[in-house]
Amino acid sequence: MEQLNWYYPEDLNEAARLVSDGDKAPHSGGTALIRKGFRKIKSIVDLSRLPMHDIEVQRDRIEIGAMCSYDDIIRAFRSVDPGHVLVQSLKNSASTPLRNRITAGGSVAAFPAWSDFVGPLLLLDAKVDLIGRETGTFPLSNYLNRRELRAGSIITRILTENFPHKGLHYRETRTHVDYPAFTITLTAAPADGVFKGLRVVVVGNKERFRRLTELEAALNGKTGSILDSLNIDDFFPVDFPDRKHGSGEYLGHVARIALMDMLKMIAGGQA
Amino acid sequence: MKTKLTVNNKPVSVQFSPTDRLLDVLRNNGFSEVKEGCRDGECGACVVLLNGKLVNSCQVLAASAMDATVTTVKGLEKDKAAPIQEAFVDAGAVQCGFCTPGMVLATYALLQENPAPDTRQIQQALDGNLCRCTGYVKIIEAVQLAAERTNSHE
Repeated sequence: MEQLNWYYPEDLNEAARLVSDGDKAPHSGGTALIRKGFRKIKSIVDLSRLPMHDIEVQRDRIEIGAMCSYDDIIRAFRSVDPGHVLVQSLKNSASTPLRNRITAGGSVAAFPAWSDFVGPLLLLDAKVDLIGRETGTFPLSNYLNRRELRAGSIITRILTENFPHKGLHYRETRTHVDYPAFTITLTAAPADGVFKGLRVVVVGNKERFRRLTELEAALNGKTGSILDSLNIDDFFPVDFPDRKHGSGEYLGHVARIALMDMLKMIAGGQA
Repeated sequence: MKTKLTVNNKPVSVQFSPTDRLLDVLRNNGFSEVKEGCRDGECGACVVLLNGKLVNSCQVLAASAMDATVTTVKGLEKDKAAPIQEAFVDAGAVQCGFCTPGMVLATYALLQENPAPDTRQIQQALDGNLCRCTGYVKIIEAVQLAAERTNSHE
């Protein structure tokens, strides 16, 4: 193997200069680099010394530094909103030692199919601050869909809305510590059996993620009794690939059942 | 590459290649209490406290741990580690012993933060540590026993 060089930038400008040529792999401490291997990598930029470790949870917004670990995020919500949908998702993601290591920025940048983090972020209309070849603030959905935004840039911060909605996060796994085949995340405002502010996102499907806007439009403003006559197939235009967990057809069937259960919980005030 | 780690409160100069994992660097420098299991972050045999946080050393690139402070099971404060180790023995939570260093470290990290965890909190704190012998019931009992003994001494 050729010599592999490590760089340790201590300020954001230096980091931006290093990553912008696109031939160096950023490393924030998580597992992606080890899992992908080093065959095509000549240089690594260690991001741990950059000032990206702060997290701020406000009533209407959340700011997460890219170097915050999953555990840092869970802790930040502990005294503010321990039932927050981000906490629900991250608490069940990976394992304790891995949650201490996986970072927010690295997790979004790598966006594995089994991500528990991206669904809640999409629900909260997250944006990412980038530096490098692309600099500025971009909607997370654009970042995930546009390769040119990812190459040669690093995430410095994730910004989301925050609101006192109830949230639910479902992960389809074979065992508790398994990677999910897919996740479904939803939030809705508490409103006495009426759907209000409902948002639903599926992650892990063939398109990687999908916000179910047709379903949201069909349910928002309606009472929970609409679920009795709802044909979920009409509002679930989602296909899954075959995975170790089961065939795509099977996963689609499970997802529809899980989603209906979640909607009933929201309608019944059980979330 | 070279760096100076602080392992179990002692400075240790180490050399490694750019893709080496912390697990291998520790074991190559005599810290054989850090066990090599799956090398995939699944089993927890290799956990250490890295700058005070429980991590899988097989999932940490040594080059990303420059100048770090590492604590293995042998470096835990004796007065806090002893009740945990004794509880594991007394509860029958040790059989082959391969997972035990990781279990003890995970228990230590939990009790440092939460001196009186309930069963669910114990299960969650130890969710990164696999044991193929005991079936976990006795391990959870050991953690509860360690918590009781630690609290009764304080």
